[in-house]
Amino acid sequence: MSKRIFLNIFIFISFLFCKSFVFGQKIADFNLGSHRFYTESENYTNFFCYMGSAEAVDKNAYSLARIKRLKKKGESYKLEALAPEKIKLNGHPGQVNPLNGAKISLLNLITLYPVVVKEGDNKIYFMASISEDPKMESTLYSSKEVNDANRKPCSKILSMAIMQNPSLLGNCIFLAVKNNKGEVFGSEGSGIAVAFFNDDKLDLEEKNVKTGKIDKKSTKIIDLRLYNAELKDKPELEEKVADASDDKKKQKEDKKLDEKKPKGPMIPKADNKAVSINGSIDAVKINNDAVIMSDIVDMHWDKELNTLYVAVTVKSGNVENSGARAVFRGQISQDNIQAKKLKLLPIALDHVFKGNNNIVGTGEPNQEVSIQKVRTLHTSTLLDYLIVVGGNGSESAVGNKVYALPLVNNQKEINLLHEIKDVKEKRNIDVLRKALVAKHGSLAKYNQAPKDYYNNEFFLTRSFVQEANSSNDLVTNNESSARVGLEDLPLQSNEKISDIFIVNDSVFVTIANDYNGITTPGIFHSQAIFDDKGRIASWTKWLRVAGMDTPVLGAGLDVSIGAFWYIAKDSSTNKSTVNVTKWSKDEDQLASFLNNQFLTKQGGVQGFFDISKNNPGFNNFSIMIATGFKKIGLIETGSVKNGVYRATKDISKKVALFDDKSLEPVGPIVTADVSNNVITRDSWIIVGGVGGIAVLCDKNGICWKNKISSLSDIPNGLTFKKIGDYAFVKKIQSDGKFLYVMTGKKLDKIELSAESFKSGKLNVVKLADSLAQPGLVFNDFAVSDKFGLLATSKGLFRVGNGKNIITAKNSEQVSWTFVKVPEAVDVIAKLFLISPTGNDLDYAKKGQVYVLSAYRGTNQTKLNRLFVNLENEINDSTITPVNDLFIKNQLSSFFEFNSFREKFWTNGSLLMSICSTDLNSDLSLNILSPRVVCSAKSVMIRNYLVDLEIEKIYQMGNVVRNSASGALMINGSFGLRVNA
Amino acid sequence: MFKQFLKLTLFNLILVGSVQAYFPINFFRTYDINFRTERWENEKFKLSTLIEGGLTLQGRNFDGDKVNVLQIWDKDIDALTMLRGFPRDSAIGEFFIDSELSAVNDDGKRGHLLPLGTLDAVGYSLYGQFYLPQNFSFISFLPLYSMKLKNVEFKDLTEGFTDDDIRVKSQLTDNFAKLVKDLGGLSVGPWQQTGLGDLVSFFEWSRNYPQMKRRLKNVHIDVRAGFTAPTGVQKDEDVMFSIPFGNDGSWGLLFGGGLDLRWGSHVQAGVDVEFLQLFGTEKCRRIKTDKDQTDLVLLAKTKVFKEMGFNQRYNIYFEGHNLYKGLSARLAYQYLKRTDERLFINGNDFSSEIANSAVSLEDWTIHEFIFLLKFDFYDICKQSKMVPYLTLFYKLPFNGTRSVAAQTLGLDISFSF
Repeated sequence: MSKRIFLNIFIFISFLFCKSFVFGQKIADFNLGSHRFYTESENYTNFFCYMGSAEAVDKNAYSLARIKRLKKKGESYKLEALAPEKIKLNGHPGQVNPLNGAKISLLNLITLYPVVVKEGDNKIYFMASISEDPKMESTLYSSKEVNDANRKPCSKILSMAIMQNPSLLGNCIFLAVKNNKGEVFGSEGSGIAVAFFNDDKLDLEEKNVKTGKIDKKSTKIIDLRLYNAELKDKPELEEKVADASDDKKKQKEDKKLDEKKPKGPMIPKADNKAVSINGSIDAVKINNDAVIMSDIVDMHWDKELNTLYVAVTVKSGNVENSGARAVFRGQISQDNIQAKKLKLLPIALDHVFKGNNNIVGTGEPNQEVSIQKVRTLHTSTLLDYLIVVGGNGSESAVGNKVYALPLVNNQKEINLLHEIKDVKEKRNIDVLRKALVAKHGSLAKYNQAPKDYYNNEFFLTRSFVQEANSSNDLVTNNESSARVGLEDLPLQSNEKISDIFIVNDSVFVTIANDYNGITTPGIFHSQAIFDDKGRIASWTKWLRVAGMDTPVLGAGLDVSIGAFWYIAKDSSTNKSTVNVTKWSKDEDQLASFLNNQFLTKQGGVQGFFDISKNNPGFNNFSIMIATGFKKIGLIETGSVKNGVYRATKDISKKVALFDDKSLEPVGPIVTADVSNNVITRDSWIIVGGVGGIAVLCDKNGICWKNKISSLSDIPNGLTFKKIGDYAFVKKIQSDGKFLYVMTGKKLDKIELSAESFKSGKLNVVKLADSLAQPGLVFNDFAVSDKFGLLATSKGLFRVGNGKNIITAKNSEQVSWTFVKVPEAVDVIAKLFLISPTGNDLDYAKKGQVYVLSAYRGTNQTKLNRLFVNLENEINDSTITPVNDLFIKNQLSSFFEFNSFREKFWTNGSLLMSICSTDLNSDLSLNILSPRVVCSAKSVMIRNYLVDLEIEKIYQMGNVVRNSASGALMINGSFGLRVNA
Repeated sequence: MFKQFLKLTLFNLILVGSVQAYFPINFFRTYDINFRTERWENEKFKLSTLIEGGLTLQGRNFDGDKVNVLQIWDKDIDALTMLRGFPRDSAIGEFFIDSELSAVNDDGKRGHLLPLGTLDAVGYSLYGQFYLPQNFSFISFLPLYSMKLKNVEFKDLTEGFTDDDIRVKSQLTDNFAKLVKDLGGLSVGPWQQTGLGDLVSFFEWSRNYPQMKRRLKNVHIDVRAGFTAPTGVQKDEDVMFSIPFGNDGSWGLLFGGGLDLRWGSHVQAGVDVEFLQLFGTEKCRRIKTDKDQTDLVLLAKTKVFKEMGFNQRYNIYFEGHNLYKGLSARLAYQYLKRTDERLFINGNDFSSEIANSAVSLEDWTIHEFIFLLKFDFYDICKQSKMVPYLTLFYKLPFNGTRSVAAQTLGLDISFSF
């Protein structure tokens, strides 16, 4: 056994105070305060990271800056300063830029253009154009001072959300403001201010260089106007402003015409008054006034639901029957957007809140509900969810909790009102409409069956339409469907996450706190698991992503290249760096090392497996196993340091290679596992390949007993011993007692015991044998408790009703039962398991199985997803297809690829398909477009080829997540590539 | 007239010539204009015999590179893609799945076999020309071929470092010939074939226009039109690289013409063009079922209509005429081309688009030089009833695409009556 050493380095991009942007080199320090990520929704070609300075530094042009990725392939990055000293301000060129050198407290975007609030200021600034030509000035507009709900200038703007509209004039900015006195949010005067964009004109005087005369010039500008959007006030209306025009005659004519016409739509006077927010408003209080407790306010505008969600920390009144809601809704009337009124609505009806476990509210007096962040999630099954950070309890008790709650989406129902033909019903349309609008975006009855909508039998969309109307309808904080991450974040409850973002079916959370007790910094993600109705049934446990564990202020996912952007904080210097993960080969020393050991001409790394710290043979220790031609490598990926399990930094000393003669009989090795007998507490490293299976053990058949904590704990002098009579082994898996061995023709169960390995006499149970059936080939299998799935060339099979694969003595006792996979290709090629615990052995406990059915002969590939819920005995409803639809009443595959694909991988946000280079295709690693939903077809979906920087990929392996660092890795004939 | 007709018919029955346009080979084109002799005074008809043997038969691939004859369409045989494109419930589909080869990717080496073989060809042919009034003549050819493909072997390019490699070797390439025979009924071994070629008959009008100019002494013009009849041995679809001795069952229309100029007594040059339009035929043929399949070994056989390509031949020569007592020497350059062909599949079992991606349907070309030494015995034998004419020729192909270019040596003996 030889051990090799290498360093794992992170390729990072850092920048600041500089005009160039150099990959992998730290150029200057910068203290980031706010950030936003943006990608073009049309083609995702570019990706932007906008940043605001966390401190005021004189003449800092990078107080507002952005980095953009310019191209998809061969990425190059450019840093741009967006706050030069001079700027065109409110139409006047050459003005002092108020953002230059400022500390940016809030940053948001309208498409590519930033909307910012600077520290110590109560105005908003909108950058309407960004000039890349140094001779041209960018354009900045500022609002007037933002007033509080008492029409006095607010003391601070706490939060900002933007209602985006294709037309600039349709955009609206929501600002949570503190009152003029600076009292805690929720005090009298605090509220939500609303700003709209208006066309305006500006008369400028310009000296003519030739004549020396002063020329008057009128230009169109944007008026960023604040309104009184409070609905309960009497409307204070003014006539609609006519379009700006210099033609006085035309104006007169228009005026005459206007006098003849009936008065047009009226707009409210822009008297700059925030909508009052406090504990006594109906949207917050239940029965009695509540109290808003802190300045932590978060707002999120959902463009699909057209609803503003506001999260606060609230305490219910201390009188009996009191309750409170920490999240409420805001709607801008869609009938007449010019009314510019923000209607505040409760997130759910008063009476549904019972007890103190409803996450966003409480039905009990004197209870706190603290919601620190609010977002929305639109699932790939086309349902809507509210994602909140916090819950029932004080701020210091819920900072590590994330929940998901179903939302009503009545948009389709509202649209259907137009199709009512009955005269009597038509009279009631307004009433019906108002009722639907009132429910729209509120909490839905969590256990309802969603309603499907069709257009001429073709599936359109799906929604929850019933609002929660009783206490039983509300999801509670102990439901697995509500608990994002299934458990608390690795963060102390009194600490706060730094950021949360959602991509497709995944929730990502960043933690900027250093290692401290249970707190572990980095980016974590949890993925939704869907039941047969498309509802979220459960979540995966929080898993680390992006291959690092540094404190992170914020992050985004560049979906077209599958790269994480993250802003890492150095606590000691209080400086930040912007990093982008990248598929690297030589930059990553593990990859570099394996590439030299597992040569391309010998097939490279033919198998790559992550064995997490949850393996019964490990004590807070994890490894990865690389396999190749008569060779394997064990890589220590994580172990305990200073009492905390952390990813291995210096992997160079943590690799053990086995390439002695004992592996020769196995030949090319394609599968490996750390198998355990949890009763005898024995563990073995077992490998399989063309020549059969071999177990690493001593002459007594023992590898190690109990748990090991590092690679050096593996005893010396062990050799691989070939066991059984197998050939072309495709997969092995162990479940704590048995080793399951699958070849193309049979599936066996072998009892794991040192005695049998010593004697070579195995206790084998034949679970499936295809020799008697021509054309039947086993391609994959997965065992979870008593349940098991077998993917074959003639469909998918499961363990039969009432049967148990663990106790089965033969295939009859397994009673393999056909599982109908809707519209799938007969040949089930691969199973991809999503387990709530992250351990593949638990996928049957409310887990998801992605089924890739593919036949190379006809260049077909389909992807289905099934929900597995093993409760007691296996029955017909243990495994059910998710209701992916395309045609009415006809279950469909989730997605159909336009070419043959070998493998599939997803984390809920990225959907990757893999295929070794073939004459038919050279699309080795593909990312499907960011939004793949159940009715999508391949023609609607973009494929992004991941650049692995390899000229010729003969063989692609699997995408594997390093459970210690969260880095994605892929093996193949090229060796290894690491995304970190 | 009736006697003339009888003679014509007799010629058709006993005289041989050849045409070979269907298969991309330059062998046996005895109706080649370069072998034509002059008509002498009072000549009634001519009977010729030709024997030609291939010194070497070399393939030319798409790039014009010299390759083994079995590699003119593809550099190797892709045995993995050979199994693709069949329904899962078909025998081939079942084998593809059952052998687990359907899970194996084709990385450009795995499952690839380098085909090697030697093609030998010998031919004998006769043709006759019957002179009619008004400078017309009737010419008819019928060839006799003997061809042999020998030393056939398949060099496995598959490596042995991955499970897929070893699976492909054990399931596919190690017993490739048997597998192809069992699954597709195709024999990939050596073969030998002897038989008739296609009959070619046409009318030709030719005339000399003596010139009184200082240098230019004669202008000769000829125009011809005729047909080819499918009398030849057709391609055996169950034999790999089977070569039809004609146009594989197609009738064809032949037309062309030429111009020869003679300066002084000894210098002659000319150009000639000839076109052959073949009519499509419907028959069982091997087709591709996957666009990446290689043409040499295809397992699918189905009834298809084939739209034939348009065949062109361009000829330019320079001759030292009658240099010494009837001895002439000629150097000719010849360019042969056939345009793309198309398949139309009956039924929906296979894709016409994929079938038409076959390289063998694409155009092919051959460039060659022909060196001829002719000896005309007219001056010696002009008093006799029969005047012999002897031609020795050597063909040197020097370029071409997707074709078999034969370097041949031959002898043509004509007798004028």
